[in-house]
Amino acid sequence: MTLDSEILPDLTLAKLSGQVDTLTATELEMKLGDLAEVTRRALLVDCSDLTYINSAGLRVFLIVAKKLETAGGLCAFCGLTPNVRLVFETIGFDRILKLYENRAVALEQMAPPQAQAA
Amino acid sequence: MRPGSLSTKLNVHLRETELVGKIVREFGQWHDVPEQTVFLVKLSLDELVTNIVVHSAGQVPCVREIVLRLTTNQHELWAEVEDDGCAFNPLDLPIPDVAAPLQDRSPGGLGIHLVRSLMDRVNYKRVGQRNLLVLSKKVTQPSAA
Repeated sequence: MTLDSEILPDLTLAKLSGQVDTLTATELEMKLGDLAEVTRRALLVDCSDLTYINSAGLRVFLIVAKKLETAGGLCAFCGLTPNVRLVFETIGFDRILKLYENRAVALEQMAPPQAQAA
Repeated sequence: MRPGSLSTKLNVHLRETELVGKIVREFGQWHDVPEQTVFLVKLSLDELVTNIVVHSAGQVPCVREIVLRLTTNQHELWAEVEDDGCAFNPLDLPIPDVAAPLQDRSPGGLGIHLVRSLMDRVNYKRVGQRNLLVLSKKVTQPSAA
Protein backbone atom coordinates (compact mmCIF):
# COMPACT_ATOMS: atom_id res chain seq x y z
CA MET A 1 0.00 0.00 0.00
CA THR A 2 1.26 3.48 -0.85
CA LEU A 3 -0.43 6.84 -0.36
CA ASP A 4 0.96 9.82 -2.25
CA SER A 5 -0.58 13.18 -1.54
CA GLU A 6 -0.67 16.51 -3.25
CA ILE A 7 -2.15 19.64 -1.66
CA LEU A 8 -3.93 21.71 -4.33
CA PRO A 9 -5.50 25.14 -3.68
CA ASP A 10 -9.02 23.81 -3.24
CA LEU A 11 -8.53 20.22 -2.29
CA THR A 12 -6.11 17.59 -1.13
CA LEU A 13 -5.47 14.78 -3.55
CA ALA A 14 -4.44 11.38 -2.21
CA LYS A 15 -3.39 8.64 -4.62
CA LEU A 16 -3.90 5.26 -3.00
CA SER A 17 -2.15 2.32 -4.66
CA GLY A 18 -1.69 -1.39 -4.08
CA GLN A 19 -3.44 -3.50 -1.46
CA VAL A 20 -5.17 -2.29 1.67
CA ASP A 21 -5.65 -5.14 4.14
CA THR A 22 -5.80 -5.69 7.89
CA LEU A 23 -2.01 -5.24 8.14
CA THR A 24 -1.83 -1.95 6.21
CA ALA A 25 -5.13 -0.40 7.34
CA THR A 26 -3.61 1.13 10.49
CA GLU A 27 -1.01 2.96 8.42
CA LEU A 28 -3.75 4.13 6.04
CA GLU A 29 -5.86 5.37 8.95
CA MET A 30 -2.92 7.41 10.23
CA LYS A 31 -1.92 8.88 6.86
CA LEU A 32 -5.44 9.59 5.60
CA GLY A 33 -6.39 10.94 9.04
CA ASP A 34 -3.45 13.37 8.89
CA LEU A 35 -4.49 14.51 5.41
CA ALA A 36 -8.07 15.03 6.60
CA GLU A 37 -6.67 17.26 9.36
CA VAL A 38 -4.79 19.54 6.97
CA THR A 39 -7.57 19.56 4.38
CA ARG A 40 -9.72 22.62 4.75
CA ARG A 41 -12.45 21.71 2.31
CA ALA A 42 -12.16 18.49 0.40
CA LEU A 43 -10.15 15.31 0.22
CA LEU A 44 -10.16 13.30 -2.99
CA VAL A 45 -8.89 9.73 -2.82
CA ASP A 46 -7.83 8.44 -6.23
CA CYS A 47 -8.35 4.65 -6.18
CA SER A 48 -7.45 3.89 -9.80
CA ASP A 49 -4.39 1.85 -8.71
CA LEU A 50 -6.03 0.33 -5.64
CA THR A 51 -6.02 -3.38 -6.45
CA TYR A 52 -7.47 -4.76 -3.21
CA ILE A 53 -9.29 -3.56 -0.11
CA ASN A 54 -10.89 -5.46 2.77
CA SER A 55 -13.24 -4.37 5.55
CA ALA A 56 -10.36 -2.96 7.63
CA GLY A 57 -9.60 -0.48 4.83
CA LEU A 58 -13.28 0.28 4.18
CA ARG A 59 -13.65 1.04 7.87
CA VAL A 60 -10.88 3.66 7.50
CA PHE A 61 -12.71 5.27 4.54
CA LEU A 62 -15.89 5.45 6.63
CA ILE A 63 -14.13 6.97 9.65
CA VAL A 64 -12.28 9.60 7.57
CA ALA A 65 -15.39 10.54 5.54
CA LYS A 66 -17.46 10.89 8.72
CA LYS A 67 -14.78 13.02 10.36
CA LEU A 68 -14.47 15.35 7.36
CA GLU A 69 -18.22 15.68 6.94
CA THR A 70 -18.60 16.53 10.64
CA ALA A 71 -15.96 19.25 10.18
CA GLY A 72 -17.92 20.69 7.23
CA GLY A 73 -15.66 19.17 4.59
CA LEU A 74 -16.03 16.38 2.07
CA CYS A 75 -14.22 13.14 1.32
CA ALA A 76 -14.67 11.84 -2.22
CA PHE A 77 -13.30 8.84 -4.12
CA CYS A 78 -12.53 8.41 -7.81
CA GLY A 79 -11.29 5.82 -10.28
CA LEU A 80 -12.62 2.73 -8.53
CA THR A 81 -11.78 -0.48 -10.39
CA PRO A 82 -14.78 -2.78 -11.06
CA ASN A 83 -13.85 -5.09 -8.15
CA VAL A 84 -13.46 -2.26 -5.65
CA ARG A 85 -16.68 -0.65 -6.91
CA LEU A 86 -18.55 -3.92 -6.37
CA VAL A 87 -17.30 -4.00 -2.77
CA PHE A 88 -18.36 -0.35 -2.23
CA GLU A 89 -21.83 -1.12 -3.61
CA THR A 90 -22.20 -4.26 -1.51
CA ILE A 91 -21.86 -2.30 1.73
CA GLY A 92 -23.82 0.72 0.49
CA PHE A 93 -20.80 3.05 0.29
CA ASP A 94 -21.95 4.19 -3.17
CA ARG A 95 -24.94 5.78 -1.42
CA ILE A 96 -23.14 7.52 1.45
CA LEU A 97 -19.80 8.44 -0.12
CA LYS A 98 -19.21 10.71 -3.07
CA LEU A 99 -17.82 8.67 -5.99
CA TYR A 100 -16.52 9.96 -9.32
CA GLU A 101 -15.64 7.95 -12.40
CA ASN A 102 -12.14 9.37 -12.70
CA ARG A 103 -9.86 12.10 -11.44
CA ALA A 104 -10.67 14.60 -14.23
CA VAL A 105 -14.43 14.39 -13.58
CA ALA A 106 -13.87 14.66 -9.82
CA LEU A 107 -11.65 17.74 -10.09
CA GLU A 108 -14.13 19.43 -12.39
CA GLN A 109 -17.15 18.67 -10.20
CA MET A 110 -15.40 19.43 -6.93
CA ALA A 111 -14.11 22.84 -8.01
CA PRO A 112 -15.63 25.64 -5.90
CA PRO A 113 -18.63 27.46 -7.49
CA GLN A 114 -16.65 30.59 -8.44
CA ALA A 115 -14.11 28.51 -10.35
CA GLN A 116 -16.89 26.67 -12.19
CA ALA A 117 -18.49 29.94 -13.21
CA ALA A 118 -15.20 31.38 -14.50
CA MET B 1 -12.54 -23.80 -14.77
CA ARG B 2 -10.24 -26.74 -14.33
CA PRO B 3 -11.39 -29.15 -11.60
CA GLY B 4 -9.04 -29.51 -8.64
CA SER B 5 -8.49 -29.09 -4.94
CA LEU B 6 -5.97 -27.84 -2.44
CA SER B 7 -5.70 -28.21 1.33
CA THR B 8 -3.26 -26.41 3.60
CA LYS B 9 -2.76 -25.34 7.21
CA LEU B 10 -2.37 -21.76 8.41
CA ASN B 11 -0.79 -20.39 11.54
CA VAL B 12 -3.05 -18.38 13.81
CA HIS B 13 -1.62 -14.99 12.94
CA LEU B 14 -2.90 -11.96 11.03
CA ARG B 15 0.14 -12.12 8.76
CA GLU B 16 -1.30 -15.36 7.35
CA THR B 17 -4.05 -13.37 5.62
CA GLU B 18 -1.40 -12.25 3.11
CA LEU B 19 -0.57 -15.89 2.46
CA VAL B 20 -4.28 -16.66 2.00
CA GLY B 21 -4.34 -14.01 -0.74
CA LYS B 22 -1.36 -15.59 -2.49
CA ILE B 23 -2.81 -19.09 -2.21
CA VAL B 24 -6.16 -18.02 -3.71
CA ARG B 25 -4.44 -16.12 -6.54
CA GLU B 26 -2.18 -19.04 -7.42
CA PHE B 27 -4.94 -21.61 -7.08
CA GLY B 28 -7.02 -19.37 -9.34
CA GLN B 29 -4.28 -19.28 -11.95
CA TRP B 30 -3.80 -23.04 -11.96
CA HIS B 31 -7.53 -23.67 -12.25
CA ASP B 32 -8.56 -20.92 -14.69
CA VAL B 33 -10.72 -19.16 -12.12
CA PRO B 34 -12.01 -15.79 -13.46
CA GLU B 35 -10.24 -12.75 -12.04
CA GLN B 36 -13.32 -11.35 -10.29
CA THR B 37 -14.06 -14.67 -8.58
CA VAL B 38 -10.44 -14.80 -7.37
CA PHE B 39 -10.86 -11.28 -5.94
CA LEU B 40 -14.14 -12.10 -4.17
CA VAL B 41 -12.97 -15.43 -2.74
CA LYS B 42 -9.69 -13.89 -1.60
CA LEU B 43 -11.61 -11.09 0.13
CA SER B 44 -14.06 -13.49 1.79
CA LEU B 45 -11.31 -15.77 3.09
CA ASP B 46 -9.28 -12.77 4.26
CA GLU B 47 -12.29 -11.58 6.29
CA LEU B 48 -13.02 -15.02 7.78
CA VAL B 49 -9.40 -15.82 8.72
CA THR B 50 -9.02 -12.31 10.23
CA ASN B 51 -12.17 -12.94 12.30
CA ILE B 52 -10.87 -16.28 13.55
CA VAL B 53 -7.45 -14.85 14.51
CA VAL B 54 -8.96 -11.79 16.23
CA HIS B 55 -11.56 -13.82 18.16
CA SER B 56 -9.01 -16.45 19.10
CA ALA B 57 -7.04 -13.91 21.14
CA GLY B 58 -9.67 -13.84 23.91
CA GLN B 59 -10.43 -17.56 23.94
CA VAL B 60 -9.36 -20.34 26.28
CA PRO B 61 -8.19 -22.55 24.73
CA CYS B 62 -7.20 -20.39 21.79
CA VAL B 63 -7.22 -21.54 18.17
CA ARG B 64 -4.11 -23.62 17.37
CA GLU B 65 -4.63 -24.24 13.71
CA ILE B 66 -6.69 -23.12 10.75
CA VAL B 67 -7.23 -25.42 7.78
CA LEU B 68 -8.00 -23.96 4.38
CA ARG B 69 -9.43 -25.99 1.51
CA LEU B 70 -10.24 -24.88 -2.01
CA THR B 71 -12.11 -26.99 -4.56
CA THR B 72 -13.25 -26.30 -8.10
CA ASN B 73 -15.32 -28.11 -10.65
CA GLN B 74 -16.20 -26.66 -14.04
CA HIS B 75 -18.81 -24.22 -12.76
CA GLU B 76 -18.32 -23.68 -9.04
CA LEU B 77 -15.66 -22.95 -6.47
CA TRP B 78 -15.89 -24.01 -2.80
CA ALA B 79 -13.75 -22.77 0.03
CA GLU B 80 -13.65 -24.25 3.52
CA VAL B 81 -12.14 -22.69 6.61
CA GLU B 82 -11.83 -24.94 9.64
CA ASP B 83 -10.41 -24.07 13.07
CA ASP B 84 -10.06 -25.82 16.43
CA GLY B 85 -11.22 -22.91 18.59
CA CYS B 86 -14.30 -22.50 20.78
CA ALA B 87 -17.65 -22.56 18.99
CA PHE B 88 -17.88 -19.31 17.04
CA ASN B 89 -20.33 -18.65 14.25
CA PRO B 90 -19.50 -15.35 12.54
CA LEU B 91 -22.87 -15.52 10.76
CA ASP B 92 -24.49 -14.73 14.14
CA LEU B 93 -22.86 -11.28 14.10
CA PRO B 94 -25.37 -8.44 13.62
CA ILE B 95 -25.98 -7.32 10.03
CA PRO B 96 -24.93 -3.68 9.49
CA ASP B 97 -27.56 -1.24 8.23
CA VAL B 98 -26.10 -0.53 4.78
CA ALA B 99 -28.93 1.91 4.00
CA ALA B 100 -28.16 4.25 6.94
CA PRO B 101 -26.79 7.75 6.21
CA LEU B 102 -23.05 8.38 6.62
CA GLN B 103 -23.17 9.80 10.14
CA ASP B 104 -25.23 6.82 11.38
CA ARG B 105 -23.02 4.17 9.79
CA SER B 106 -21.08 2.05 12.23
CA PRO B 107 -17.68 0.83 11.02
CA GLY B 108 -18.18 -2.64 12.52
CA GLY B 109 -19.58 -5.80 10.94
CA LEU B 110 -18.61 -4.92 7.37
CA GLY B 111 -16.39 -7.96 6.85
CA ILE B 112 -18.91 -10.68 7.49
CA HIS B 113 -21.56 -8.72 5.58
CA LEU B 114 -19.23 -8.72 2.55
CA VAL B 115 -18.73 -12.49 2.80
CA ARG B 116 -22.46 -13.14 3.10
CA SER B 117 -23.27 -10.85 0.17
CA LEU B 118 -20.46 -11.70 -2.24
CA MET B 119 -20.61 -15.50 -1.95
CA ASP B 120 -23.56 -17.55 -3.22
CA ARG B 121 -23.70 -19.62 -0.04
CA VAL B 122 -22.05 -19.45 3.37
CA ASN B 123 -22.67 -22.18 5.92
CA TYR B 124 -21.39 -22.69 9.43
CA LYS B 125 -21.21 -26.04 11.20
CA ARG B 126 -19.71 -27.12 14.51
CA VAL B 127 -18.08 -30.47 13.79
CA GLY B 128 -16.81 -32.13 16.97
CA GLN B 129 -14.38 -29.64 18.51
CA ARG B 130 -13.99 -27.63 15.30
CA ASN B 131 -15.68 -24.73 13.53
CA LEU B 132 -16.30 -25.26 9.83
CA LEU B 133 -17.29 -22.54 7.38
CA VAL B 134 -18.13 -23.54 3.82
CA LEU B 135 -18.45 -20.93 1.07
CA SER B 136 -19.39 -21.44 -2.54
CA LYS B 137 -19.41 -19.28 -5.63
CA LYS B 138 -20.82 -20.23 -9.04
CA VAL B 139 -18.83 -19.08 -12.03
CA THR B 140 -20.67 -18.11 -15.18
CA GLN B 141 -18.27 -15.68 -16.81
CA PRO B 142 -15.49 -16.99 -19.06
CA SER B 143 -12.15 -17.57 -17.37
CA ALA B 144 -9.47 -14.88 -17.57
CA ALA B 145 -7.10 -17.33 -19.27
